[in-house]
Amino acid sequence: MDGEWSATLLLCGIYSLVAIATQLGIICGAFSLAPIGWMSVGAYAAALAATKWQVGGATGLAIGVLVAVVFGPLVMLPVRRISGLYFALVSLAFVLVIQSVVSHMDYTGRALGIFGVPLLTNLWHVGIALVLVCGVAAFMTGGWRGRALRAAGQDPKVAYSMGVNVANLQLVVGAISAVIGVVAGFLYAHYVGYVDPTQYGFAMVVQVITMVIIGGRGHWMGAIIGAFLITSLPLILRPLAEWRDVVNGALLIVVAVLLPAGIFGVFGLFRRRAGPVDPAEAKAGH
Amino acid sequence: MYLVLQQCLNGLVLASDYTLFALGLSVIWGVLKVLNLAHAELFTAGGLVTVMLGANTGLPLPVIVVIAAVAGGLLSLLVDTVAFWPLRLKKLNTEELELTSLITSLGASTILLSLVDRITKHAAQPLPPRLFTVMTWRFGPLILTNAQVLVTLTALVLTLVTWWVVRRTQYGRALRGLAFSPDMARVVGVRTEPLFRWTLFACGALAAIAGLLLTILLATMDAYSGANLMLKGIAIIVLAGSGSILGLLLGAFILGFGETVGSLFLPSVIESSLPFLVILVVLLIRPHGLFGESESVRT
Repeated sequence: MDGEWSATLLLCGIYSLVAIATQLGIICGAFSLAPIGWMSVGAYAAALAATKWQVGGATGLAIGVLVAVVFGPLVMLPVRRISGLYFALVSLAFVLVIQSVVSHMDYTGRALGIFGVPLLTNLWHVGIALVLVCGVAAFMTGGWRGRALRAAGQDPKVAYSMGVNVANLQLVVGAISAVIGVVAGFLYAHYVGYVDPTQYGFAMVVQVITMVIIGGRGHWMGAIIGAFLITSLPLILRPLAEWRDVVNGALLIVVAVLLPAGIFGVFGLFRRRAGPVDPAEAKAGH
Repeated sequence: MYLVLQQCLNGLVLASDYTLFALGLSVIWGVLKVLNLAHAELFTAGGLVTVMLGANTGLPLPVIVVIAAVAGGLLSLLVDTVAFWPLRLKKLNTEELELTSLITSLGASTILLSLVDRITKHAAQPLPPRLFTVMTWRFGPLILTNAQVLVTLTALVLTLVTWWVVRRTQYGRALRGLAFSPDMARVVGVRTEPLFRWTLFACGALAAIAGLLLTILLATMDAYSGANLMLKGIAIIVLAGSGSILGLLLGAFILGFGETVGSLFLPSVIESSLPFLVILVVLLIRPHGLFGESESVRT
């Protein structure tokens, strides 16, 4: 395989991880952008482990994961008080505060970031991580657990009345998506060989939202479709390279207006004729 | 001490600029329930029109102001037609509308940003000197320019006018009804669609004028001059609470002074993350902002 394509494939995999983490939050009713912040935590854990702490990569990852497990649910907590766009803003603020903190601390190399992270990540690592994460996502969104999760996302009150512990479920999802974010950041740092604050800012947030929406909101497979499509778009559209942002933007509008359930939703149209209707249709039918 | 005073003055000017940016954004958020990310590019378009017309034509500044305002308004209508109007037709519930329109406005913003970036050839464009001559006044060690005075006064006037229109006129009454419930407004005889359009036009014009003023203040503009203000604008609206126009002034002053006066006392970490800390703290403690009317509808 030619180097450019394998590099793109690897990036597709890493972006898929973040997109799935974000998607899990959306499914349970918490539109959280925090996974991008967690990605930054994972990347800095990798960089600090390799340069400052002088410990192996595995230890760095373990520390990052530990932080995510402890603080991931904490970042998810506000969803009990505020919902929708406002919660998205809170999580965005979390991402940007992290970005701002690492770009002003000497310990994290300020705006320059940290160079000299060993280039360890290969396609296998990303592939294995992606398979594992897909497994977790399928486990969380399948069966009774998935129904509870989706119920929490669609109407928390109804979900409570049906005996779903919405709050706990959201905290668990907060921890899981934080861990996935840390893993993605860790892999990314070991792939590009350095971290700097600009990597995990508003641009990345926009990128990930684009992936999730275009791929299809509400299913982890939608996140993967979106991540692969958006990441490989520059390669597919090489002749249109200068117009890439215009194409991206137009895609966003077209998909959001015409295909509210994203590209994944198109498959659903054929699959679910007789079964339960998808949420977008159900709402239109009221 | 003089440094503090000078920074207060700078904070005032900065706050005025933020207020101008946040005005239209806040009204659209309040009325359409749309966080219009493309607002930043309408703002930039105002600066772009100024610079282009200033360099290529002999038009005087007042005419350029009018052209920029109309251009901003029309651009805003274009964004609406592509990104928001199709969603209004779908009758989504508030939560879905908020998310979906965020996405479509993100798309519109991405497109416009990349277009402006191409037009400006990826570089900052200077304000043609013939448009505006900067005069400097010195009060002892304090320095004040006529551009700063212009921006501050315009911001104050436009904020008061907007407040007056929204709170004291028949048009504003209809607008607030629309914000509360479009269906209800329709029932009592408000023609909602024209009202949406006029509001969007006005907000686009406001954004363009704000962009024009910032271009005069800094004597330069680039494709990102609006995008750089977006997060601050959001922070100000969150601080004020949706629907509160005079609250914007306070929100803008907190951010503006935090950046200028705060830079003298606060560690740089806090100072640079101030807008985001404001969003975090305010939304956690008072989700409806300092002056927002708490809605019992929302759970």
